[in-house]
Amino acid sequence: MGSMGVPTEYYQLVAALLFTIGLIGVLVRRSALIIFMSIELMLNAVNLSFVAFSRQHGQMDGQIFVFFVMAVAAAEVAVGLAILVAIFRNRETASVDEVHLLKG
Amino acid sequence: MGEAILFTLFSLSAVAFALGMVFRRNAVHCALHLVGVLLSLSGMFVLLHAQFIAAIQILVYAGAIMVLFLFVVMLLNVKGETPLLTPGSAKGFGFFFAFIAFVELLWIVVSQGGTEGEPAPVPALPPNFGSPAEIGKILYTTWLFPFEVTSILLMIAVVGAVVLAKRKFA
Amino acid sequence: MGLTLLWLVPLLPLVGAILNGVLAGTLPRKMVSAIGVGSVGLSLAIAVACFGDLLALPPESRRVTQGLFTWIQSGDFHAEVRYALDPLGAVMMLVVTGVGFLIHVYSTGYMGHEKAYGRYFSYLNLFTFSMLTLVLADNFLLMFLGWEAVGLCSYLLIGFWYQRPAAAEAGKKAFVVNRIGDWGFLLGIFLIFVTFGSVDFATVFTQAPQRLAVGSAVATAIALLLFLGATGKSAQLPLYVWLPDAMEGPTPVSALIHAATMVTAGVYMVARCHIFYLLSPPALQVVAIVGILTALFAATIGLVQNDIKRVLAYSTISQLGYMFVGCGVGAFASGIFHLMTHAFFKALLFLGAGSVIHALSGEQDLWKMGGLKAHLPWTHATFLIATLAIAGVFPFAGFFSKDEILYQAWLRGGPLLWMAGVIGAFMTAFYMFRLYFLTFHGRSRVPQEAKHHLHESPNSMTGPLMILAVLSVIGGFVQVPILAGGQRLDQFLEPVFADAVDLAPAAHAASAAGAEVGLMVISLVVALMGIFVAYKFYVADPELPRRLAEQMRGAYRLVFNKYWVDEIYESFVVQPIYQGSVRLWERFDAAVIDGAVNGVGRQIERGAELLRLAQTGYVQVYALILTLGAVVLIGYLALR
Repeated sequence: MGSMGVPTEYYQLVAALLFTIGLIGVLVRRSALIIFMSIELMLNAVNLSFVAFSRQHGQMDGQIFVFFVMAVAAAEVAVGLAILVAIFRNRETASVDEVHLLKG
Repeated sequence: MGEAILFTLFSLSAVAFALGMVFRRNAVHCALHLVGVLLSLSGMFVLLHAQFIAAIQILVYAGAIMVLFLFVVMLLNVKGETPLLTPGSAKGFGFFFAFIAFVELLWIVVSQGGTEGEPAPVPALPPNFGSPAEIGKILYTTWLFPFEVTSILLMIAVVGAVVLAKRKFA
Repeated sequence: MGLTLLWLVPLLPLVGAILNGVLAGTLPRKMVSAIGVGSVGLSLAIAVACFGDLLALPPESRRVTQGLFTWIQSGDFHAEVRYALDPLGAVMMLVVTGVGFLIHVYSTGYMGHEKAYGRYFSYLNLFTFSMLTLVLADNFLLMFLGWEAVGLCSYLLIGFWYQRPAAAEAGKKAFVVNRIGDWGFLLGIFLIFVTFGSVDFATVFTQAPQRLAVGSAVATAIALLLFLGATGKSAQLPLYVWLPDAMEGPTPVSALIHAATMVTAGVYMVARCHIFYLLSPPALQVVAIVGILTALFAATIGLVQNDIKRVLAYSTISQLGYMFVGCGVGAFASGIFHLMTHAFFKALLFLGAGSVIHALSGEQDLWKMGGLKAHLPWTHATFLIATLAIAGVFPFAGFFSKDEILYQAWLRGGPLLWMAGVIGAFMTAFYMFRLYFLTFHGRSRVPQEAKHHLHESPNSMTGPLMILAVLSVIGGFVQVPILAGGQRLDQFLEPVFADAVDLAPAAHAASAAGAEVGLMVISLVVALMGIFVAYKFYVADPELPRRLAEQMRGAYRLVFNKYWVDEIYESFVVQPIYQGSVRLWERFDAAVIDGAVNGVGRQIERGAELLRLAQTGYVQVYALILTLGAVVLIGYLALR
């Protein structure tokens, strides 16, 4: 079936698009919660890219990377959300522009 | 042909859900949109011969992580944000930088393609490519050490999360 | 058995030093004495055993080395901690452990009332270790370690009573003056390493005659640099000034370090490195000239000093000058011979002086003594023997050794050198008997309150005096001149100096038994003349010295003030350096360096204050900057 499949470049384009949307989310949203979700989106964009390359090169190492990325993402979400809960409990807000005590 | 149709479908839904996630006001809606993105991507993983990854994408991401998100959303009881975006010039710069980043990524993807604009051909793959058995084989041989390190990382994260979220830490 | 334990000879005193140093203040006095004296005593016993083993070997193979561990290994540079025993080292080792042991015993009596008893013995043991390392070292670097360590111990012991400003100053002076000499020594070692690529004695000394021509500039430079080190340690012109001040230390220390052992390190070193001096006739000449000038110079000062220990100090300087004369004419064995006998009688003199000072509760002024013969019989008898020995009266030890040097000076240095030596010998006899008469004879000038405490010293002090007195009497017979087969020390040292025979300076005069006897008679007569003049001056007619001093006022003041050398050094060396240092401190250190450091600090502070503004506290600003960085990097990679 060889050349029948969708070329890898298309997948990369989708990944790039998703990554950019995630980046916009991180940069412009106020809610820390949504920023976390955007980060997840960016990670998923990269995962897509990994899997696409994995197929392109016929090696499963890319899929293993995805596996690790997921593990790291899970850890990050757990710790990140815990921090968020702690902040919210102390400051009654989840907006990143209202949490800026640590400054020069 | 079928793959092309499915690809188009999944990619369109993924992008649409992503945009929805970033620009919706209600946090619960955002979370549900993200679930949509994850499901779409899971479909694309199947197209890319990554059945195992597709499965854990749904199990871990859509299942576990998103539940955690929704749980926190409800715990914090965040109202819809009054100004959606950050105030000041930061958001202008944000859009601008993101745009440049996209252009650059596009440039890389396009310029790295096959010769004379033709996309690189997709190679034929063995039938068990991406199956749990194959993944397991290399995960527990070549990648054994990173795998173990990851388990320690997860444990640290669990302990950290518990300590951070405890009500009072003196 | 003995030779395998060679390493214990230096090590035991080190163990003693560590024990007494670490446990100082917690151990009872008896224990401190046992450790301090016992370690050196054991060391002496092993040293004697080693010596016996060495004698049992055939003469040509009498060089035993014992490596302990590799000290430094870096590129081509290699230094081992390795001890070597050869006849020269054996003589030194026996002198150090033997005299050292006696002085340790003596110290238990002399320092009995001292508060810092443990500290004293710790230093003394450390000194013994260092000195043994110096004389038994198998390479220049280990020798230098010992060399520096004895300097450190000397500093510590001179300043032992550091509460007294004079003692602290004297210690500092000794340290600084020695540093000048050490600088020369170190440069000499560097030059040796550059030339030979090794600092091992065996390598350097066997290669030296092949690598360096006689009279070559490198040989001269090495010899002179090493000799600069020797002048510092052995108190020769122009670096002798620290030794008289070193008398601020406890008297047993003066006996051990500043008379018998450490100050002879320079002589030992020159003898050890004799090959370089023989390769460089000018350097050899310098050694002889400096030696004889020092001998005369110090003797003249010794004539008029009033402090009992200072007279002995100048006498030590003078005698060291004789040893260098011996080395300087190429008769290294004679120099070592005098070193050995001098160790006996000068240690005895110092210990006797210590006994006198002890009896007078610390009085050191000759003019407050007198008539002590009756009160201190043992001290008097032993002191008389030592004085006769240093004056060079037959058959005491000093007679043989000094006459051998004078004979060698006549033979290889010429009549002028001999003449100067004889004049020095006359002065030696004179000032030593002046000291003796003023202390033990004549009317008592002791103040009334001190008279009540007058007592002979305890056995722990008189015992060593008697042993040293015996050595001062018989010590000379290891080297009987003229008699065939009488030169035992020469024969023993012969393997060490064997290579010197064909390089040694040609004799100016034919060696003849008749000439030797004649010269001996002359010097004996001269010594007796000196004694007679001293008797005339200080016993028969006590007013005579004062009248003479009146008549020769200028000369008297010159000598009495020690040629104003200290003052000259003070105003021409010390003060300029001091003032210059103050200027440098104020103008350079405080202004330039501190200014630069503070200026840099201030600018960084200012810059940091600006940079601080970049830290806004808004997470998204950081994210923006992060993105900017990523965009720039990706752009660079994509468009490259």
